[in-house]
Amino acid sequence: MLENLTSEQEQIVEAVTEEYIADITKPTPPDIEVIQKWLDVVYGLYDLKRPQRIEVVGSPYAALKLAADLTGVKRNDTDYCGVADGYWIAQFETYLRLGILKPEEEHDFITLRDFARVAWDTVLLDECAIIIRRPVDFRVDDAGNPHCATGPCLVWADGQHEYAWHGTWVDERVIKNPRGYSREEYLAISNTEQRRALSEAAGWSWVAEILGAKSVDKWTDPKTSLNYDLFRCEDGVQLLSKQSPPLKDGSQPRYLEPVHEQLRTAQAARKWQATSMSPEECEADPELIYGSEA
Amino acid sequence: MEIYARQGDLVIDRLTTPIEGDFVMKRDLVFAGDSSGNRHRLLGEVSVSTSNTGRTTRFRVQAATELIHEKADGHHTTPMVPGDYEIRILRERGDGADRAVED
Repeated sequence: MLENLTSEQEQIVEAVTEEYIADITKPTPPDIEVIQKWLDVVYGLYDLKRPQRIEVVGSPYAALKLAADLTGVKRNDTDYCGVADGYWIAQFETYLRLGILKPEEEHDFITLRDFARVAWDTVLLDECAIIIRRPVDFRVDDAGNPHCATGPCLVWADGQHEYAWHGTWVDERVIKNPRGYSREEYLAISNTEQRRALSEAAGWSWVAEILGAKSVDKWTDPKTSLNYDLFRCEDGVQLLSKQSPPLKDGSQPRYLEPVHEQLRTAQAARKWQATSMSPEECEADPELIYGSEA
Repeated sequence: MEIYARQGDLVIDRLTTPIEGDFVMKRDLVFAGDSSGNRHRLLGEVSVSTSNTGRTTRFRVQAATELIHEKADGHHTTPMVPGDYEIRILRERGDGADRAVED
């Protein structure tokens, strides 16, 4: 058992980490020999032989459609076996390079590792193994989150594509025409991360403009320095703009969340969100101290 | 008013009176973040009250553990000391009623 790592061993850990993160976005084409070796292993785990029929498809959507066509049963999930396993495959890769992987584990591990480098995922059926190709284009931001501010962040080999804003999967409109949202459409977004993504893509000043919202009260927490801003629209709708505590990467994204129409101060609105108290009770005693905020 | 902690949209309230009623043991309890895949997870095994409803979950922590956020660059970890807790999701307004903040 390894208790402490030497500097050389730590360098191995760093190298594996960088290598695996960089590999996620590579459009490596499928290699049928490598795929067949993995299929032999995975079907063998269930005392089955690899099926004669192997279909390589261009996207998870194509895989699920083919699986449904072949079985007559609708599926919503792939096997999540491939690139999604990268986090623990990298861990075992580290063990391999440190020389501490058990010999009896090596063959199956290496077979899966090699498979995950040339394919994205699978849908394995008794009569047909469906292999999903890696995306032909996969873009991420500096933090490694799926992101592209001008188009799809992920394009599958069959042309299907996905959009994301700094790690939040969003509708195509959020990227291509964020300011095309109407006030009603904006307020109908119930997911706070989706609302944040659209607000950042379109600009917070645009959000205030489209909502016809004006700041009616501001408050800064003296303990955390987090700031809060209560906005009111002409029709009485109110939203609390709030700054996140620092995240692990140091960023502090803002969120805009609808709050009760009878709140009058940003500090009370903060307390209203965290409790089951009425607006009046929160206004009468707006103090709320958290032991920690993350 | 003092509350134990907040982690993103989760309010972590340490209760001053013991939770009454029946419990069921659960491991790696997950809170919120279902739509984004960035879930908050309470590591290890805890006793969860069987009378939980709505946006609140009451449970008992027997041994010190941690509430983590699964997003790699997400919220920092919140340490959880033994005790009885209520975790609830922040609320917001929508369609004329209160609802849990969704992420």
